[in-house]
Amino acid sequence: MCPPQARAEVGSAMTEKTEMVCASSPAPAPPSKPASPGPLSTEEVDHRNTCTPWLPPGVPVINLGHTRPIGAAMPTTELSAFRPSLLQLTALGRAPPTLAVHYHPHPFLNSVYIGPAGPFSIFPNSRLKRRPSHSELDLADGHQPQKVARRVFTNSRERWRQQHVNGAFAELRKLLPTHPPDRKLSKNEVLRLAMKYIGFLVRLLRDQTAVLTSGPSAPGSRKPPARRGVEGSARFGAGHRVEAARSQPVLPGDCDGDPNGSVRPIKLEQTSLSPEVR
Amino acid sequence: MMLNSDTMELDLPPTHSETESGFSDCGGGPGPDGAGSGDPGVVQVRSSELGESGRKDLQHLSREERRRRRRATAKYRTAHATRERIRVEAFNLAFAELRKLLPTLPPDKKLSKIEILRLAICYISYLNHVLDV
Repeated sequence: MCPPQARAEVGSAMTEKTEMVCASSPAPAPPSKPASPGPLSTEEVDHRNTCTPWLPPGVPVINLGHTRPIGAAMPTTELSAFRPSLLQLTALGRAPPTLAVHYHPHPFLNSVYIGPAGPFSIFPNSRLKRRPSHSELDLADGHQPQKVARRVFTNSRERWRQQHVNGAFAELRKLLPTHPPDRKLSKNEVLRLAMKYIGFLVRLLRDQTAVLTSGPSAPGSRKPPARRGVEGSARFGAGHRVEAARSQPVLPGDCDGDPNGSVRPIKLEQTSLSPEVR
Repeated sequence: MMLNSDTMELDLPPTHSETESGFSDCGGGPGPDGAGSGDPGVVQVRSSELGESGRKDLQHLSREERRRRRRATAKYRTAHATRERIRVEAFNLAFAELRKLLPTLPPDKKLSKIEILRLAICYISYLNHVLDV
């Protein structure tokens, strides 16, 4: 089952990539129409302006999506927040040289964009909705590619995050014993089964350690000490290994505060483990 | 995928209850449905239907159309929103409980969902390794 799942994941990733490409191409069309109520000639000019700069910023958006996984912590997200602005500035720098009219508002747009960078990243949707109504025609022309690029970047980042969360759920699902092994579980069921399985494993480890500690005394009491003595030494070695490993699971033991609830999960886990034994 | 499966599983029982309530609503009062919607256009349409004999109109409508109208009612939307909120709360509660079982320093450090999942995977793999040895 593992290989077909991997293939399915690869297929889904490919389809998602194609979806991203499809989503990026129609994105500039809708905002340009309401923003430019002028005559047809101005609309055509707006379309051309929006079309030409879309190719360069599309690539950095994808790059930003790749850079995002490297920076998972909050400070790195802030750094990445600054990086896309630089990339967008460079992208804008390329487009204006073709038209002298757009060259003048370029620095003003940059200064306006840098100010609300913080709240823009926090609430991209609300900002996108508010900006077009307040800004003028010239400002709207300059703002459109930045806002749509920001929205595409945010959507890509959210899609990437969701893919990783779902991937982690799939990996966790593979570690949980069920009958049949490939039974489909909901996310909530995966989480609750993981809790029961962890509790069962921790309890099993404690019981095993207890048996090993009490084990060496039992063979000593028996009559033939030679043969059983050898077994005792082997058990001692195993006890040391388990004791060394025991240092870490002690922490979850402290965290566990429900002894009554633990009794029932033991039975459930035993029943769940029986298929694996078979 | 998982979200869709969750939605499908959750929708099965409510569809039964909704079908029952839907039938009772259709038989009992198309009037209060119109009042609940609050849209003047919808009210007019429903009043015309009432005038023309609601039963025949309901029979003429396809099953899908009746289902759509039933699901568009405020009552169904409220019930759906409540179910979704309960599902999300249970989901987050499961994450919080799983978080308590994972060993970390400090023990009460806040972790994101992806971090909780990855830590659980590592911890289960470690426990399996220790027990197998």
